[in-house]
Amino acid sequence: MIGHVSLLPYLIFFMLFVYLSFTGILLVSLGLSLAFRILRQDGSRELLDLVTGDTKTWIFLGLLPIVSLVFLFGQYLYDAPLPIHQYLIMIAGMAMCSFVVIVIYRRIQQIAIGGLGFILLFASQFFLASTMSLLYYPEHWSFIKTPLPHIFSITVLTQFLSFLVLSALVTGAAILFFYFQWGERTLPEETPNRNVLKFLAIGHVLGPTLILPVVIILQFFMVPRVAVSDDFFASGVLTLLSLLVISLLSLSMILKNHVRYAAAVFICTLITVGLFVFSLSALQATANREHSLLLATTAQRAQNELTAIQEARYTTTLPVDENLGEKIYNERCNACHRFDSVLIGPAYNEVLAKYKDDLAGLIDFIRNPNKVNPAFPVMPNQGLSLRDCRAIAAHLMKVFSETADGGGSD
Amino acid sequence: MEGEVTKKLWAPILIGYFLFMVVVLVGLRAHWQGEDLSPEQPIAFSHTIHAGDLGLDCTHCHVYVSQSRTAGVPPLSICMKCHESAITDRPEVKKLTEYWETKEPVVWKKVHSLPWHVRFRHDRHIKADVDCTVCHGEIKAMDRVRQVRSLEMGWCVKCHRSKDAPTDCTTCHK
Repeated sequence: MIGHVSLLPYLIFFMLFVYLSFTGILLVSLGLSLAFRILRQDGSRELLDLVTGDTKTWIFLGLLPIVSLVFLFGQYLYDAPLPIHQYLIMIAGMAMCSFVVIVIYRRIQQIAIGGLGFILLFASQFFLASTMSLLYYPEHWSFIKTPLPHIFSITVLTQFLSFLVLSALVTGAAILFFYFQWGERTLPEETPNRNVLKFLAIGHVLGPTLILPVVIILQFFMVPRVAVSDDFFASGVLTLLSLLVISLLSLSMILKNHVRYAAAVFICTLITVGLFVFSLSALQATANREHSLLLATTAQRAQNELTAIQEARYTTTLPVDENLGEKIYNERCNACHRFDSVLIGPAYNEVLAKYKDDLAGLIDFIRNPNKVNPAFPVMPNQGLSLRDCRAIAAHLMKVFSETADGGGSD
Repeated sequence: MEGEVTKKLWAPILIGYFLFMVVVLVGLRAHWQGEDLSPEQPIAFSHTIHAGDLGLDCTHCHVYVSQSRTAGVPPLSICMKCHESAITDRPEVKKLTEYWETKEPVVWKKVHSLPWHVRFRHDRHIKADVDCTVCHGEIKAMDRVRQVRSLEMGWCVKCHRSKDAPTDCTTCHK
């Protein structure tokens, strides 16, 4: 496969991983922050500060991945009957609006603004889930006139549910890690609502770890059979095992009332998100394999044409290599053709006469054969370069004229 | 005391729950394994070489596709027409020659199957100018043929509608 096309799935995986983790934490922590504010509890600002610390975070974890995804999918599904990059541009636009609104909410702390940001981000995540789901059904692409009827299918809802559950999980783990174990930001003991936050975080870890397996199994039933691969199954099983580790760690933290495993839980959660995104990528790669093959073939053909043009520019002026012609004749042509008898293809003595004054025509035919005589199968394209074709054509005509002359003198 | 016992029970319950889910997943896999979408064939015939590199038409070998209900697996005589003399030294071609010489049929594995209650005719679709790739995908880029379309009813009906083909139940069902 052409270099950059085969690289795309890896980049898509990485960008989706970063984007889903970041927006997941953003969505759930914003929701929690709003809930705290409505209930007039302390801790609302801390919750939002979790991942929205500085501009760099926004740019590298939010903007860059979603914009890259637009470009990556634009490349990956180039020429597909589905304008996937347009949907992604819309999603990216929505996400960016929500980022701006959330930044404003951070400054002025008004519930209405925060609510607007939440709705925008929620909707953009939902559309992302529906776009991802569309990718699994390439056979339906050519029939999709407007994507609207497809955004509420059961597959989309399952996909979105998995996004939400995953978001809650990663938020819980992030709160635990950043506020209870990581030196820089650890909440001091006297912080009001510290315990509430702690149990909220552990709850957000434990709940999703128990729900996610059901969602994963559901998803296995939803996705089309032709998109399922071994990679998809393997990552499903590994996700379950990593969820088991997370649930045991957080159970121990609840029962023994400590937060020592916060870092371990956070790392396992990131691994889980990675595995989950990998399963999505595997699904998408299998479903769209045909399209990437097509893309690779088209690119290869374009490259061949370019090489042919360049070759034509240089080789037509070079002298013809006679030994090369004879060599190729013995390796290839000989398998189907003889000069004086019919084998798989017609006898040269019968067909070469018409090229006697048209060597270029013969070269063209060898480079790009088409059906001439219905009594014979069409000659397969031998994939020879122009140099090879010139050599073989010269060799054929030389032998032909020699035998024809010989025959004439007899 | 009772609290202690419940505390000890939690971990096994969790492990049991997750292991159960793993078993369900593996079970699903095993169940689906039965319907292999890309079975290994007795001879590793490559469509990439024949239809892709050599540029042979589908109908070059699948000669009945425009005249009959099934496209038909090509008879060995079609393969041997070329391979009697062309590229006889490759192991897969040698296998083919052996089948031919011992007059044994090659038991190819079916890749695209429809349920018994569907009647599909290749000839009608070919006459209606439906390209082979619409249902079979880019076969000429596949070394081993793989089913890439669901072949589900909803999909058939979508195409029938878009092309104004009949959508009567009896068009496709017995």
